[in-house]
Amino acid sequence: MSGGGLVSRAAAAVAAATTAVRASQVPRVFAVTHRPLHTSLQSRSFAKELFLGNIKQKGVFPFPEISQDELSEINQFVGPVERFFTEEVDSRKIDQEGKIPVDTLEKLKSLGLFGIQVPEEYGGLGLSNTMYARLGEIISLDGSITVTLAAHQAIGLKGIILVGNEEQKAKYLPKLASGEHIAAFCLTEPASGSDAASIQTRATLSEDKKYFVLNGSKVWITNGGLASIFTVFAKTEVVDSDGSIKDKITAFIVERDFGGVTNGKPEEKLGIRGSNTCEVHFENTRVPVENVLGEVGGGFKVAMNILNSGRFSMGSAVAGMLKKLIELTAEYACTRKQFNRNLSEFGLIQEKFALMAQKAYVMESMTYLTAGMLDQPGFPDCSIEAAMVKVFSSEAAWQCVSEALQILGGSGYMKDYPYERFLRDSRILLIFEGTNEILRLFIALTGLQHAGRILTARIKDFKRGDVTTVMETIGRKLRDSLGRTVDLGLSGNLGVVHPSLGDSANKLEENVYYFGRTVETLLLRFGKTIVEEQLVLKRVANILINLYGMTAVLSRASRSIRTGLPNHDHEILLANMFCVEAYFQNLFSLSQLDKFAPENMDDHIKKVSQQILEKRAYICAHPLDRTS
Amino acid sequence: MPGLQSEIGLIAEAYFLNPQTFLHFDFFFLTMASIHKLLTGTYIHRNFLKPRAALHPFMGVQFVDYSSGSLQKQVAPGDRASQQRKTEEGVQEGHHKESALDVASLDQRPEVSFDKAIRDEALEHVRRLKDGIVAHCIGPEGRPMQEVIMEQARVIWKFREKEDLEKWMVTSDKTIGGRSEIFLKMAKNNQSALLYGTLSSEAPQDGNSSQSGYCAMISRIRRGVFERKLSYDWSLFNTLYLRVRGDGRPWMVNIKQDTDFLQKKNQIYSYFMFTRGGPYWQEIKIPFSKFFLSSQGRIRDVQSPLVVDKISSIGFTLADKVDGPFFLEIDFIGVFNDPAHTEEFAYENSPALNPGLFK
Repeated sequence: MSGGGLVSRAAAAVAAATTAVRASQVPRVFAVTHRPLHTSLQSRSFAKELFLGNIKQKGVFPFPEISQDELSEINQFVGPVERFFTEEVDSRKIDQEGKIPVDTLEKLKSLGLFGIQVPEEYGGLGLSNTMYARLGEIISLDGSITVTLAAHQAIGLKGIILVGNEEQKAKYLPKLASGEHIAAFCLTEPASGSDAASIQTRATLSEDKKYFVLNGSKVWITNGGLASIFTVFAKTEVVDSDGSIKDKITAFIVERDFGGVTNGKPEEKLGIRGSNTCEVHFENTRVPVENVLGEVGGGFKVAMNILNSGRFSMGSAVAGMLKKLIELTAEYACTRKQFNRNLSEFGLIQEKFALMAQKAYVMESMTYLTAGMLDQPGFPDCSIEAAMVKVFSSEAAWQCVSEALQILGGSGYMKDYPYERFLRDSRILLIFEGTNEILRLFIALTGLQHAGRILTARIKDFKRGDVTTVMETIGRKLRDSLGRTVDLGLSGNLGVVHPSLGDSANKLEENVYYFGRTVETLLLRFGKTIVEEQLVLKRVANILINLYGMTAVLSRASRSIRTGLPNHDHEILLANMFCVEAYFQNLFSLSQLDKFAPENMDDHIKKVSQQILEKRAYICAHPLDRTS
Repeated sequence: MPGLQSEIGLIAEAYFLNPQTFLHFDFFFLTMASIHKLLTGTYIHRNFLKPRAALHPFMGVQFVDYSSGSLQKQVAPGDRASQQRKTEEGVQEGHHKESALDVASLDQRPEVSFDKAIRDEALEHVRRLKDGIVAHCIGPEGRPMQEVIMEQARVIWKFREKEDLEKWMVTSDKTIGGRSEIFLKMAKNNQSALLYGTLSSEAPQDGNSSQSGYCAMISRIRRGVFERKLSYDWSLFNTLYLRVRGDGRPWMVNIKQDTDFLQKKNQIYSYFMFTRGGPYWQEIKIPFSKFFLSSQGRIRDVQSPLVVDKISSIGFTLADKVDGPFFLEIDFIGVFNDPAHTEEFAYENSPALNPGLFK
């Protein structure tokens, strides 16, 4: 069971997919990395290289820039949109009534916000990922509108842009871009959430082979009640190359007018209450074969492509929301008096602002770095990066909103103020677009698969007892244990990182190096069964997210210093603060990944949860109980 | 003439060719050949001028113009000063008369006994020597070591009494023939110093200069026993801390290191101080890491951090090319240690400019 087995057998695991474990769907996600879209040789992504203990500087250092033209173009958009959101959108009303008013929707349409990323020839704005992220910052001032727009264009119509053919694009995109038609993305089913491969909706080819008959129900479909165009995923029968018939997922563009499309009443939700979420049922809906999105049987890839490409924008959306929240709470903290002092004078309150600013800074950096990577020519593979942005920003959002409410005390809990809405709206971020747990597994496994592929030969040699490899490994271990300074070329003379951030850059380099070593050890230790080691995978993902965050802030802060942006000293502070925190978190996680480290409590954790889940209850005796 | 260094106008002129970026500027250091040149400015040097070669066994013959003694002498011819005043506008004249430094009282006739003056001076130095030895036994600069080490902030110059003004001198482009004027006096209530005047970028009519327009305030170099130069050691601190109230003009803050290298004598480290208009005091904190190196008024291609263990003086230059009156009130100038500031030097050297550094 060599480490290389992980790679070769990952595919087997996909095919088998027999394990009932939830994680079993993750190997299937592997398929995503081979995107069918790629025409040019894709460069290996930054995050994947981290798994080998390398830092790939290209595209990351220096921080991606946009041209002056693009900047002034986006600023032209930003102004009116921002004015609209601050002056006309009544978020409280949207939240209370559970519905976005029609005139608000109309105004959004007239601003072109329904077609931000639709190419200009189809009537959209045709903005790049970076500019999309920038607009997302402002749109995020209202959670319901953000989600409505995201469901429409980040996932709903994204499939048509990504894999649709010319006819499909010409037919659907113009009306979608103008907002005349709203799109929805129908993947989730009552029995199929994160495990997208297990959907039950079925499309059967009619006898004349002109259309598919679609039957099934989808739940929790955002825009389900508003949409007239649906991207629907359903099982179809596909004849394999060996002649056997298999069920495979296919993506369809379904118009409401095809008939048989009904939707339930809008769900009552905790947050984002203004967005329309409901069940959508398809009953003998006849979908013409021209409306198959991508290839028949290639729906899973389409779904993953759509989801992967949209995730990064959550970073800028949350950052926009946090910046607003910092403004509101800072105003409160500087005016509210307790013990004859302003709240802003108390260290415990100040700490919360530092935390919020730091998180906002990191996610902003990560988002725009990822957007910049995505905007590079070719089809860069940034699925891991996008997933990391999503995980980091959603968790930071929840944490920061919670801290903000803490600053506000009682007012934060009252419905009279907007703050509790922020809290409710941000909770969904950890759940949708792939739950953070699934994404962590995705991040870790995709990277480990890449590392496994590269390291296979080495590990095979090691297993075989090849003297050179063994001695080399032992020698390196010895050197590492004696403490070595790692230099991956970030700092120092002519380093890509500014000397003010030199210490942090060294910390990143050290973390990356030892992360690479640890990955090697993990592959050696678990081989292909690492797929089942979710606690290990979670830590690997956590380290990687930190590493990516550190890289992003170092790159961005270096740019800010060198170009002399205002307040770059503040950026240095935030960057250094984050890097130190992340460094020690990483060290802790790395030691937890060591099999015999005292920090590693995995077995305890598993045992406790097993005992609880066996009884399905908390099993400790009550502290007041007596034996007699 | 190193002995005249205290008379060196540190920064005589700063042209901000591009005031927005401050990348292009150009200022000269003018060494004023004699004290009288300085007196054509507004600062009347009230200390006794005398050759002290005899008292200065280690440094050979040189002229030193500093004396902490209370002797006052109206060195400048009175008519000269009054002539100058006549040219001023009425408002400024009023200010001018308030300026303590300019008013040399006529009834205080200086003594003419050289013997007594020399004796007093000698006694003064003996006293200083004694103080120095005692202070050395206690700790650095006469304070217990523990106190010095634990110190988080230190006020270096404050303005609470007229004597505090003696540690400073002011100069303007008048020394090269320009028309700017600068005055220094104590503000009301003796709680701060007021630096005011008029900036004029009219070039001197000397057939040579084409640009002008600066005003500067420079701290005098501290002198110890036998007129030995004293420097400030700020190595425990990393940030300059000023409390000022300005009129919205940008000033340049210049720090000069104490050095015996002739090659370095024209090197200064500078950074900018942006004042705010309005009635409120502002606290300006400038990390030493931000100061950049210039030599003879030109920013050096090879930059190196400011080392603050031997600082000889600090100066403030105004040369923002905006003609008109200016005003800067200074409460104190100090240094403090900002533990959250870890930057060592904000600027990087470029291989394009200095291939030699990157071999």
